[in-house]
Amino acid sequence: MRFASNWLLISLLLLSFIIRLLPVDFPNLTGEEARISYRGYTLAKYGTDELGRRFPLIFNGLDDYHLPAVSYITMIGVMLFGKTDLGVRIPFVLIGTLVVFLTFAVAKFFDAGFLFRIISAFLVASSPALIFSSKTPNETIVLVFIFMLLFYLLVNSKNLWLIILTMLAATLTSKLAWFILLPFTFYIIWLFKLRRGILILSLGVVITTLAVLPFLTIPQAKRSLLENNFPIFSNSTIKNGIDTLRGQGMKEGWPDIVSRLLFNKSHFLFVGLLHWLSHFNPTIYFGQFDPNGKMGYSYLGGWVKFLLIPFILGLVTIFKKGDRKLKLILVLFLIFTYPTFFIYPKVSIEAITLIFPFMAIIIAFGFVQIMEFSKKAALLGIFLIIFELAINICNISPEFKSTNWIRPSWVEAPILDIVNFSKDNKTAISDDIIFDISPFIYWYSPFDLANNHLIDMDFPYKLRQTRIGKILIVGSENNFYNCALDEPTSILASKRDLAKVKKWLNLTYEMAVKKNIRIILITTQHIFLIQPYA
Amino acid sequence: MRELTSKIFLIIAIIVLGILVRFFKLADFPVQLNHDEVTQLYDAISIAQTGKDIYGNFLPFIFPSIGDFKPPFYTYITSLLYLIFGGGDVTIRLASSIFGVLIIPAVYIFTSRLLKNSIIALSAAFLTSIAPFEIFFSRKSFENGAGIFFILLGFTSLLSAMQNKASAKSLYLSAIFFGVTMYTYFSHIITLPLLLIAFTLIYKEFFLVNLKKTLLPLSFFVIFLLPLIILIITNPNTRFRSQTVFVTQDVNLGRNIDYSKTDNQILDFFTKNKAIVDFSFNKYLDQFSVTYLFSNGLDFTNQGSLGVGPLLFIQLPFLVLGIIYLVTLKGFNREKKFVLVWTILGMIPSGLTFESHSPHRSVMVFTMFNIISGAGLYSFCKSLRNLQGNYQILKKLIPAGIVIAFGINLLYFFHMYFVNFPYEKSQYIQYPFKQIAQYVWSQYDNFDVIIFDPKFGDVSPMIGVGAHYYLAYYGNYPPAKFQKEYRLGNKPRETIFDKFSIREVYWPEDRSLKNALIIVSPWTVPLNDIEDKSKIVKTFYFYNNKKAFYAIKL
Repeated sequence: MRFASNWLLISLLLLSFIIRLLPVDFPNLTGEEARISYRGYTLAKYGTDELGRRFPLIFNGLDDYHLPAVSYITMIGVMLFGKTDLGVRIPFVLIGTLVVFLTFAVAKFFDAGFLFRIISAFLVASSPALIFSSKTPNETIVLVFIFMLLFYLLVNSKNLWLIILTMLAATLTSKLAWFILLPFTFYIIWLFKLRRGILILSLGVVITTLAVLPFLTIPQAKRSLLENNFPIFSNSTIKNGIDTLRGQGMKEGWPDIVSRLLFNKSHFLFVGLLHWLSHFNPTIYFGQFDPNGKMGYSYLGGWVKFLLIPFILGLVTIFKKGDRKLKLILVLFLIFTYPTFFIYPKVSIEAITLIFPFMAIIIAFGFVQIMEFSKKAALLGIFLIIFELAINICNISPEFKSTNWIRPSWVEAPILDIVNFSKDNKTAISDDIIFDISPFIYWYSPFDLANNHLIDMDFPYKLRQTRIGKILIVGSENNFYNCALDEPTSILASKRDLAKVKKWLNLTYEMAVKKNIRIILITTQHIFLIQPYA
Repeated sequence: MRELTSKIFLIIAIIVLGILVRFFKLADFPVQLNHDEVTQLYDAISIAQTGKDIYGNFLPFIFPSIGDFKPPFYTYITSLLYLIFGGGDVTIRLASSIFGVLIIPAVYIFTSRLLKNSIIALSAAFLTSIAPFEIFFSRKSFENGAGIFFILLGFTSLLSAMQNKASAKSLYLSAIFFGVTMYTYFSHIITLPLLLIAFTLIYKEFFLVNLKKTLLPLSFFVIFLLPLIILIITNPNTRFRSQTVFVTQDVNLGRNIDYSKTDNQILDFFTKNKAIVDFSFNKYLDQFSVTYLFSNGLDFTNQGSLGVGPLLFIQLPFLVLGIIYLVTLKGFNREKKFVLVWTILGMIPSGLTFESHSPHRSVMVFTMFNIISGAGLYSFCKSLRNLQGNYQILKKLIPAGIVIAFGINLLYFFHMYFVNFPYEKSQYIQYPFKQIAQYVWSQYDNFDVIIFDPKFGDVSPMIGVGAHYYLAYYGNYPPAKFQKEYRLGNKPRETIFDKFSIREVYWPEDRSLKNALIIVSPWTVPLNDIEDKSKIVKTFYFYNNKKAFYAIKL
């Protein structure tokens, strides 16, 4: 029996690994993932990040600073498998697979039965959201893994050093962890009435402080926190809304005191609260996890649709029959997501994903109920899970099309063109061909581009690169001008810039199309015009 | 006896509260009749005066409207109210408000029957009396309110029959109530039969044991529905409405279908239908979004999250408590299943239409949410009463806090409803079409032709619909005459009656008209295009005082 159980678990882990790994080049990377991938490569090869800094602890991204864990994990993959899709993805595939195993391990604290534990693990293995986030370099799956590991270590009262290391890893992975780590640790200690609680919590406070304080010394740290972790306070739409609605009341003759009572800064509280609760919208979990396709399949929820039924059944079972621990595990949902209170109006997919392994435990309870009711119904359920997952994973063409902008699959070929062309020529590329173009240039370049973009500041915030080697990245603010004879320039133009060029050169788009060639040489102007791709 | 008296007193107080909030300034708020209201009102007057609708159909079963067809119940009942009370804007809202009040005792009786707990029933009735969606929809012409009222009575009668040895009277009453429901609102044609099937399955023992007793009322119900069934089969117009609002009309779904296209026909068929199923499922689940339900679902403002949902914000914790209470409540398994099925089926019409959210199609579920919240309020009060030890002070402070919170939340809703909603959304009820209609009638004798181009907008342009109804209704134009005069014209968007032409204005051509009054918005004729500004004899404004239309004298 034990032998069979072990084989079942091993098979599940193997299957999880394969689903997460294949196809190895899907999904295409986003700009931020390409940046991390290239960074992993430069760290592995030169010991520097993409800006030339030697083994830094804080990296730069388009939207915010990056904490170090993900970049160094990527570095390990590149060291083993080179600057390839496999190299940058495999560490996360492994981490995603380990989450499946950890769910199996953690589930025993709620129900020791093998069936329950293997169902929990199977659910995590088949969660579209967790599969997707295991396929690219990103913080989310690492954080899911760390919190599951921490839960296991805490409850199992394992080695204190391991607990400390796990806490440290959390604080080095994502800023979100800074907010969650202490309440999470406190809650688990309280819920399971753990020994050494005060010691562990004190260590947590020290570790979090050690992570946050150095960050705060960075000149733009406060801005980074305000814009990315507390945007609700700088959101002008709420303030303007309060003023507008209050003003309308005053115009209509409502007493000033009533208007002030009804429309005041407490609205920030209500808006934040509702925004937090909006992270429990069932659509996210069972309908469409991330419509943008950035953190999940565009046409799948965090779980396949069928699992809505066992989830409801699981909740009902827990409320009706569950013990204190099971009921109170629901509080974890609130702990993981409470930072979203401040992240208005953005939906924090990262925070939601943290819930998933614990949600799997609830769904597993429901699933066991279905099995007890009818084995055929449970088999049908398993079939529906596999069926929905299979038709979405096997037919990825709609996914490619719908994420064309944020995960462009087509961009590699034109970038290779422009990079090769830039070896001997000055070259330009429009920055709106795709979202966040510069990391793609680095990543797809077959050779290492000369980095003449080293910056004066140690920690530039929201760095937008405008030049990579000989390639100029053209923004909407740039204008075109006649090149001198000795500086011919080519441009990979978007529609926006092609319109500008056309206006300036008096060249019609039809002329360009008629030529039906990729590169149009306009010798009189010393301009090479490459046909637009977007 | 004393307990009964206090319950009666409480339910009367709740009903009085419901009457107050539904009838207070009913004629003035909403600030104008919307196009649905004015079309139904004029049709009702037409029926009352001539027996025909404005298109000349004699006592129709279905009323053609603007790009739409209306079920008959509301128009006929308004005709009746018109005959009793006479005309006036408020006439069209009366039926809705009356049913909006009647639904309060209906919820009380239904909940009492279902959960056999009069305190939960009282709480549910209280929440129904002050729920934003109830007040909002009761103060405008809204067929679904009557529909929900009859559904509640129908199921109350069914439950009553089950509790009274299959009383024939109750069974027949339920058949009548359900029958009437089907004529009130189109979406009930789908949801009610499904709900009845689910109810029959849940309480199958009763129906099997009393098969003979239930068959006759069931036949009576089917006979009651025969005209409707015949109409649906024979008249494609009845299906037109459901086709035009079905989820497949959604542009986002269209895009998803495009993305999923393949060269293989069989695969293409599969992926297309998969896209529809995925999209519909998402839309359906989205109807349960917390932000929609408690923050901005009624779409009162343009200020994002600062708005009003169908339910009061303060109700949220009680809804959660109510769900937990019902889940953990011992017994009542069938009743709990029925509550769940009601909630699941009730959201189908809203979930399967192309609009992102359509609260008017989900009223049935919101009503159930009030009942569940009532259970939550009850369970909370019960827990509070059981508090012991050093928490006695909380027994007084918490209820006081809750009453204050309800008060502030209600005041917030009233502010939104009476102030912010008209300011921010007057365009969507076609304000100021009433003023325009009244003005053109005051100028009727001075012009040979009066042209009205209803393209207008506060922020962006839209085509106002039903302008001819506004003109006819506010001019007290005899429906009998309108039935003969009304026709389509040759110019773009043109409808004509009497000396009125409602159409697109083409200024380079129309500027040369003589002895004509043109009502046009700046979207069609910018102020700079009018050379002689003295020809602008009147300006009409939106409720927020932005310019909406000019009257140009030629």
